[in-house]
Amino acid sequence: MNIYLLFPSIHNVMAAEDLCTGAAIATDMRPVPREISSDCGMCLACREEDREKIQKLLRQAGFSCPVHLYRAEPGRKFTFLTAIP
Amino acid sequence: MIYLDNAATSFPKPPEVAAACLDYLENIGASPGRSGHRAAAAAGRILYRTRKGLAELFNFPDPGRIIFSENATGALNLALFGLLKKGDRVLTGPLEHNSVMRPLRRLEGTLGLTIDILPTGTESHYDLETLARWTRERNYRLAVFNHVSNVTGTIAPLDKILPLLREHGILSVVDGAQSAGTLAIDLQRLRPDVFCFTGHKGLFGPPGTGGLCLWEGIEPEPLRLGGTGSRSEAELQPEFLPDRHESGTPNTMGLAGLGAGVNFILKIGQEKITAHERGLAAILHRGLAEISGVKVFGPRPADRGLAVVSFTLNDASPAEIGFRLDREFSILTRVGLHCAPRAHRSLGTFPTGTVRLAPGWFNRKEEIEAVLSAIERIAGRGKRK
Repeated sequence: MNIYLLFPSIHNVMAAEDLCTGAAIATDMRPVPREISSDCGMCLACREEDREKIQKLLRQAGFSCPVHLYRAEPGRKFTFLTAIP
Repeated sequence: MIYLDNAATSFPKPPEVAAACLDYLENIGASPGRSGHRAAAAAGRILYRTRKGLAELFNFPDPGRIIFSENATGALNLALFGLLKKGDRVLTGPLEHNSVMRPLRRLEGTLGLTIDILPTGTESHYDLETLARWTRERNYRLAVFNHVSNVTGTIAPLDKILPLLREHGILSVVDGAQSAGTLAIDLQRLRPDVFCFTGHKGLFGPPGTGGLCLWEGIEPEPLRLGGTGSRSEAELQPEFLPDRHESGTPNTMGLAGLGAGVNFILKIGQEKITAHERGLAAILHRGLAEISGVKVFGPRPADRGLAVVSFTLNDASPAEIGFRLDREFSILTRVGLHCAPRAHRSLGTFPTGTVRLAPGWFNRKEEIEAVLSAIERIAGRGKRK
């Protein structure tokens, strides 16, 4: 799982995980990588091929909080992909 | 022992409540949302599921706008201290608890609030004609009403009160301490700006749990600032919910129990629970009315009353009656003013108060009959009117 979704609150992380579980999309809750943020919270990781499905799911569910997507690259580098909504 | 003090704290709890608390203590234990390990994630899921269950029970659209607090008092303090500003005019009801009156009286001194108290009327103790006139003529910023009286079980006519407040742009705060878990609540239909609840009464949760539902666009100033596990690099409080109001390690054990209590209600069905409790209250009303010297306060369950029945017996001290019920009959009640002197002034029972009988889901009809027999014996006549 190389796509990281960052949310403002742990509540949003849980809600996104719940949505994905309901749609049978595998996710993994992980600490926020220090390379992205010094936040001590958690984020959600998913597979590259599920990224579009998850983005659609979050939009459909009316997620109003900003969600930032990153891709993990070799050497613990993270590329910012997009922010939704 | 017959426990009839469910309006203070419900007892017993469904077995699932203690099991959920114990599961957290023995198998999880961590702080939700902090640290990033599996136990922290499991603790976070407890809070999430409890919010989600509450949103389903109250038909509230956004679980993320349910803020946890230690009880309804904490929730009401956040709503009133967080929303009111210098010089505001506030309207409140005739049956309020001190969890509303004391914050208002404090703010009357510190912010110069003007507080108007609606007189008692015929519509479940609410004078709706005066309400209509005052909301039209006076410039209120906020109104706060209890949903169900903790003294009489009176259900406030919120379906008439809240549209009036909305029409005049008045912020509405509802004290749902007695209604949450005892009455079907549809917040999307009622649309209060703030709905405050406690976990330890009708919702079957442990003491130390509660919260408030904040309607979209209602943003009180936080009362408690500190660590949230989010935006840790910033020294400023996060602005997003629920974190903005939930600084410090939460009561995850209690909230696990609250979630189990809410699930119990969802499983049994709120209507079934309400009907059972109201049925017991109706037996009490009928039985008490037959005992000479007894005066019952508040509406019958058929007339906008819930399972809270207050009475006096001639000029006997409620404290003495409660003591005798406990010592001689193992019946546990609540006596006195029930932290609601304002309500007792409205009822004419200040300062001695009443004896309050508050049956719950786990009480049986035979227990209620035994309570009526005990009160008859205390009345000293051993026979009915």
